[in-house]
Amino acid sequence: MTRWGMVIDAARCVGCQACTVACKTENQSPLDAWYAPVIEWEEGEFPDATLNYLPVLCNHCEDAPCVTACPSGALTRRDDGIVMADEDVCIGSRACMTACPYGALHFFEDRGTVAVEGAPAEAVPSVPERYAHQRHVRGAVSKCTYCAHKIDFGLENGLEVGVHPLATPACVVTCPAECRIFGDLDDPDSNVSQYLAEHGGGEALRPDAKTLPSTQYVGLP
Amino acid sequence: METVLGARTGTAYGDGWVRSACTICMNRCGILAHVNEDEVVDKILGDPENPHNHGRTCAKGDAGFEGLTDPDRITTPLRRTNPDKGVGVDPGWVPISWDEALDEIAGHLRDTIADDPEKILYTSFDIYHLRGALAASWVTGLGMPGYSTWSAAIFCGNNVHGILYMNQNAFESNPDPIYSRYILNFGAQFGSVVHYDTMHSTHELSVRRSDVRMVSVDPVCSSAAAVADEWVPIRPGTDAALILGMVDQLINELGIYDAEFLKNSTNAAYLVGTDGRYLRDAGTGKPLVWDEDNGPQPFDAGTANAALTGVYDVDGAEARPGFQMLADHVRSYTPEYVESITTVPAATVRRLAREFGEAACIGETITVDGVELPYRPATVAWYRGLSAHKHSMLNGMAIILLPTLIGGIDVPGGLLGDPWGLIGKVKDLEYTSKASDDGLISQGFIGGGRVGGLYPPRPTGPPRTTEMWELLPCAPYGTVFSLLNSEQPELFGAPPFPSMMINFQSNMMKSSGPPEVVERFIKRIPFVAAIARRFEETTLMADIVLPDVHYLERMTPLVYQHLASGDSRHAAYGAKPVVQSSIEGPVAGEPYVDAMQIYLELLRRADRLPQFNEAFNNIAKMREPYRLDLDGRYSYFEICDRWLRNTLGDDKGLDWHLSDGLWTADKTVEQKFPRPFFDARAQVYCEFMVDTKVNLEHTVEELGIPWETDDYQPLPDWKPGPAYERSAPHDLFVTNMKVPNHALSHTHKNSILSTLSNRHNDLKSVWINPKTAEARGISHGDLVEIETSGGRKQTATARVTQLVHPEVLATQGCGGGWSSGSSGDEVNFNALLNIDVEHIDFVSGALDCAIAADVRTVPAGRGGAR
Amino acid sequence: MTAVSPMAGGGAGPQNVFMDQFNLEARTQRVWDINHAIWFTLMGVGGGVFLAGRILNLTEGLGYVLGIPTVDVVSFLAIAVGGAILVADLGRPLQAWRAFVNVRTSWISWGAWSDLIFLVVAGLLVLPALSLGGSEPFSGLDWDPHGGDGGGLALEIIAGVAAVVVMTYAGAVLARPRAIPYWNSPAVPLQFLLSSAAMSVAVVMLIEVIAGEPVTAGQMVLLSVLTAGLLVTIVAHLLTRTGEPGKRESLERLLRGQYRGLFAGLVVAAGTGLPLVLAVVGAAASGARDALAVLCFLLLVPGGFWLRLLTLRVGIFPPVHIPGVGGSVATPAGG
Ligand SMILES: Nc1nc2c(c(=O)[nH]1)N[C@H]1C(S)=C(S)[C@@H](COP(=O)(O)OP(=O)(O)OC[C@H]3O[C@@H](n4cnc5c(=O)[nH]c(N)nc54)[C@H](O)[C@@H]3O)O[C@H]1N2
Ligand SMILES: Nc1nc2c(c(=O)[nH]1)N[C@H]1C(S)=C(S)[C@@H](COP(=O)(O)OP(=O)(O)OC[C@H]3O[C@@H](n4cnc5c(=O)[nH]c(N)nc54)[C@H](O)[C@@H]3O)O[C@H]1N2
Ligand code: SF4
Ligand code: SF4
Ligand code: SF4
Ligand code: SF4
Ligand code: SF4
Ligand SMILES: [Mo]
Repeated sequence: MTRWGMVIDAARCVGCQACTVACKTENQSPLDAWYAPVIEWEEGEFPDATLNYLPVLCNHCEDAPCVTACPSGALTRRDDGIVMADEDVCIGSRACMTACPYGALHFFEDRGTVAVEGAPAEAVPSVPERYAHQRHVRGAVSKCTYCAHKIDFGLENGLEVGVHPLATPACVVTCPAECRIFGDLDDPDSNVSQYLAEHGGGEALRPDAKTLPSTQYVGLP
Repeated sequence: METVLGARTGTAYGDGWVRSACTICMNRCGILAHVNEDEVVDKILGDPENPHNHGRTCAKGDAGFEGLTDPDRITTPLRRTNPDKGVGVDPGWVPISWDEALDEIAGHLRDTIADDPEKILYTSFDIYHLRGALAASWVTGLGMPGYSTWSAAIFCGNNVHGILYMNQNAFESNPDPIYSRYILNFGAQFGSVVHYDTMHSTHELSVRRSDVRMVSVDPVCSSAAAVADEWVPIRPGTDAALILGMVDQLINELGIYDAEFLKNSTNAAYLVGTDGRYLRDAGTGKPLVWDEDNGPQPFDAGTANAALTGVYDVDGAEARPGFQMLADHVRSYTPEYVESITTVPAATVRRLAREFGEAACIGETITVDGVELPYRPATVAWYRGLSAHKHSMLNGMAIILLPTLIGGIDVPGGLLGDPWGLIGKVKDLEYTSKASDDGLISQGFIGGGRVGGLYPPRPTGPPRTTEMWELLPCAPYGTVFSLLNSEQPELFGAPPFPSMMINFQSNMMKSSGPPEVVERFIKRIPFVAAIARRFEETTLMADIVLPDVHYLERMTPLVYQHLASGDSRHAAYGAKPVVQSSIEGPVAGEPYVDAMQIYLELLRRADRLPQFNEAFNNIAKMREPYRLDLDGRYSYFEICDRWLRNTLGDDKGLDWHLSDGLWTADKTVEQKFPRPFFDARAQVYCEFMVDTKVNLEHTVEELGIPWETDDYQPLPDWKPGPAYERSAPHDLFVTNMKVPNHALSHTHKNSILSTLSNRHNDLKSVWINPKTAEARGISHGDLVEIETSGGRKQTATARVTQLVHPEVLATQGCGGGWSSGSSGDEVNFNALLNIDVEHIDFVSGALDCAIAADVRTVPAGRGGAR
Repeated sequence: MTAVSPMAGGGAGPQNVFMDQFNLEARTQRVWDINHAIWFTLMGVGGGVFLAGRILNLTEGLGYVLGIPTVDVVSFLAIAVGGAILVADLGRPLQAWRAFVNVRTSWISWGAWSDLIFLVVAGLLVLPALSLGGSEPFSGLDWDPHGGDGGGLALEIIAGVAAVVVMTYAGAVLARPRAIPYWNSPAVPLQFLLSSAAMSVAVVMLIEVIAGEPVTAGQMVLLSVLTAGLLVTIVAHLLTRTGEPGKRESLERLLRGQYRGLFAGLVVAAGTGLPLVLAVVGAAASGARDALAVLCFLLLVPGGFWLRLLTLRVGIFPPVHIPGVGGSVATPAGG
């Protein structure tokens, strides 16, 4: 079996947010929905202070509480481990949003803004929003798909997933620090498995949530 | 037409990709842009075959297509009907025809050229397109000596380019991202996605991150300092003291320097007399060195044992090698003295010097492509943080000592140069520099514009323009004097003022200084034309506006020619229209692909085509059969075709550019690391400054104007800037830094990027240390007002953070615009700047960007809009 | 971390003016709020009143609406209104039917089915009694609407089971995922169940008072048991896992932060403790029972609403990562 997964080497991240923007343009997510934010936080006291970066996205959990909670069946886990949101099926209950430990789901409100914390009340017209209205169903939830359309395109056209830019998630392709690696977690020889092996295994965010994420981290601060 | 659109194969997901170049910032990454079924660009990828950015793009590049559908794009020539100009004034635009617009501008050009071509002011920050060859030919064709990279000139690389040309024959330099193991950022953001070479270096550093130690000396924990292993906070404007303290440690305490390099590749051994000048050979006039065995010898006599230290008697004259002069000079910069100036602890000064020196691996070599080369994996990066200050040139002269002392220039691990002067020679690269009679690197020509080096200094004379170029013999820019002359015309006897301005791709109203100061300057110019994509703050000041294409609609060959040294491949490529602009262009029947088409039309209408053709032949180093006939009238496409063939080979003309467009090549080892392969020397002791000062003083005395010449000195010093002696309540410094996901003022109206930075509140905030905040009763999130000692004010949201020096208020980016699409509550740092004699460096033309200021909470009831 | 903690700010709007979703701080859930608290409350009351009416044998004698016992009508109305609010709150109300799809794992689907089953079965149960303009069109259906015969009893049991699910599932929806530690506890559905039951008994008592029927000591005892149980559950929930990231912040908000007054006053004191006292008094003192019953109603229903709303509002996701603590190795079952 294939289980697609992403390894993020947080120690290498330079906090440039290229991933954040590449994801937005690839997926034309609603203007203020960020599937791939980079979390920042300060550490230490002057003069020994610094800023840390942590790129996050959907974990494509094996035991995905969002899928469990979803009444409509809009959220499903594919055989290759990718958790997909079918916006046409979604009823907009937002149960998934309360169930996901990571904040990885985004509700596209009718107004054209998104229900994330502190979203501005007024919608700002923009190209991505124009696309978003074409690409996304209002009143439904959308999320990171691991760029499943790219993976599927790659598989159909014999391109190496995780290597060829058209067969690799947009956030991985763009990352100048190459701290994101995408591949098959089930294949011990894959790029991701090898990287995890070299770094003594991966870590999960919110391990207490026990969701068995496919997005794994090394070099967490 | 078909070919203009470029090769594109269809619109399925895998198709529809067009290779082009991103020109949002000067990194000029290679990109693939995707066009969907609706002929809309919906995605940008890094070009995976491009060795410059190896398939990566930054946040800005990813979001770049957003501007194509900007609702505020200009689509037709416009004329102003409201004679009033200024911030907030409606220009009353009415559409006019291209003919009318072009004829009018050409008429102004004609008249001005007849009077004095130097009264044309062409403002543009297009130099980084390396269409410098085109742009430079256009200004040369008009009879101007160069153009103004206006805003950049005021506080960008003022102490960078000349210094680098002097010691490295380069316009820009960057740490070697592959071989460097110790990188000291001094007021620069190398290593994060700010600065230059970002995609390439971020990638390379990431691969070997754990083996590289990066240290950022910065008043603020900038994005680069956050990425670094260590952040060394420093009081703004005091870096020279720290650097000279390190130099003192290296030479006088640790004895770490590359003696071989200093002897053979610099002027460190040249003997200096008590008057500060070289001692010269009576016969040849060459500078002398002291040979341990044979006494005084001309520097080029093949002496193996030139002394670096000691005091010698040369025919009764006391003489010291330049190196000894330096060693003596820096002795006063003890760590404790440095600490008192910089707030950097004395122990840190010692440690940084030792770390740097030890990491330099002096004496070690490395084999690259079978050739043994010096290995100097310690280096520095510096930019605006050192440059944008009073005494800027002294900062530059200080910082270059560090890589020079260890021989870390254009060798593996060192500072790698990007010699832009080689435009037009991509196929036969030569890195050797012409040596002056004194054996020193002397590259007079920088880029395409009115940009000059440090050495050899240019002759001085009466100023011919408001930029007072003739009184700035060592500066790369004089732009800030235009503002000073506009504000205080009597100060320097009112040098000639521009009669007209053409503005293209430079938002000087927003990026150059206080808006009202720039506004007054522009209002004084009788005629202003702008070529613009959207109404920017500066466009709104024009009399006539011409529409420009978006960069994804553009056809500009050779936007990028990678000439930088270092162990990567060469690349040359350009921009091509990913989509065809729907805007009608200046030439009937020709698709509109580049503003250069406007320039050719203007040159034709002003009868200046022959001059352009000649200039282009020279600047682009055109050979037969590609040279332009002086009397010929060439279309833009024809010129591009010839230029491409001339540069990359006969099979690489326009068709190739449009169908493929990426040229790459391996470098020879000489091209990778040129320093060991050429003789021209770098400078440790800038002897030329002694006479430059004398000449300049003579000139200004004749002119009867005041001028500061104190900083023309052969060895650098730290001197206090205007904000150093602060007094309450303005006892803080306000500073500014760039953010990775914005480029200058250019991207602030990109809705994706601005939404993202709004989420972080980047451009609206001022960073305040908790101690400072507490002392002033400021809490995190408060609305505060910054007030400078000059009485200038900005409101901001307080970000109370440990990431900033307690004496500093840090602002970010170049925000606070007022044209459509601006977010009104951003901080406009430039509005806080002072354009006055105290804040200008008279050697480099830099403006001090560390301003004395106070901050306090805004009393309730005020600023309610936020 | 020096950034302002979201805990310190107000309920609405971004509390950290700097980064909100881009920072490493506990995140308040703002997905579900008043609408949900209302429908949670109405569902609880709806299921509960039906059950209380049946268990306390109060379907007869408290009046009828169109021939149907008042208690049942109140129950149906509560559930119908609650359901309508639920549907209206969906992002795509027209797709509401899909809520029934995922019974395998989704408590919301269970809730949807139990609402439906309850309305259909309880509706069927009372259908024979329906009287429209004097005629009883369904009187031919041969079961006892009060559950007095086999058919009636069977329907009553099915409806009753559905009603229990209706009273509980909102709590279960919150409690199942581990995302929000304050919610992730059996105490939440238990609180919802007990609160629903207590509110319902109070509602039934109110109907009794209106109908002029006596409120009994037994009912008061029942109410005191329910409120006492609720109080114990609430307190127990406040005292367990107090140091756990996320829960700690939730408790902080309830006990010391912005909701301190509402929680202590409206939920604990007025909404649970006082009714407990009143019910105990009412059980002993027969004279004031009517007044006490009305008071209990007036205290318990808002208390139940605020219990639910505050539970929603203090739902806090802990930071996705706690620096230096991490360390746990992800163990994907597949790899
Ligand atoms: N506060 C603050 N001010 C700064 C700086 C800073 O960091 N902070 N940096 C300074 C430095 S280092 C520099 S180099 C200067 C640069 O300052 P500028 O040279 O003024 O650069 P930008 O602000 O990017 O303005 C470029 C303008 O060109 C427009 N433009 C972009 N592409 C095109 C195009 O293809 N065609 C046309 N016609 N127009 C185009 C953009 O919309 C924008 O209005 O700013 C300086 N000012
Ligand atoms: N993302 C992005 N990249 C860019 C650009 C961009 O706009 N955006 N612009 C390009 C251009 S035009 C340029 S010129 C370069 C410039 O890039 P850099 O000069 O590398 O970066 P800046 O942020 O402009 O300024 C450098 C740093 O100097 C610090 N500083 C201020 N005063 C002092 C001081 O007195 N001493 C010291 N040690 N530090 C000080 C500031 O806090 C800031 O962190 O970047 C280029 N690359
Ligand atoms: S991270 Fe959240 S959205 Fe993604 S699979 Fe896990 S629970 Fe679902
Ligand atoms: S919002 Fe949509 S995807 Fe999420 S739980 Fe409800 S129906 Fe499922
Ligand atoms: S995998 Fe694709 S959808 Fe997911 S965060 Fe990355 S770019 Fe966005
Ligand atoms: S693109 Fe890479 S380096 Fe940049 S923020 Fe994202 S993960 Fe970090
Ligand atoms: S904006 Fe980004 S992608 Fe574009 S040239 Fe600059 S670094 Fe490259
Ligand atoms: Mo710059």
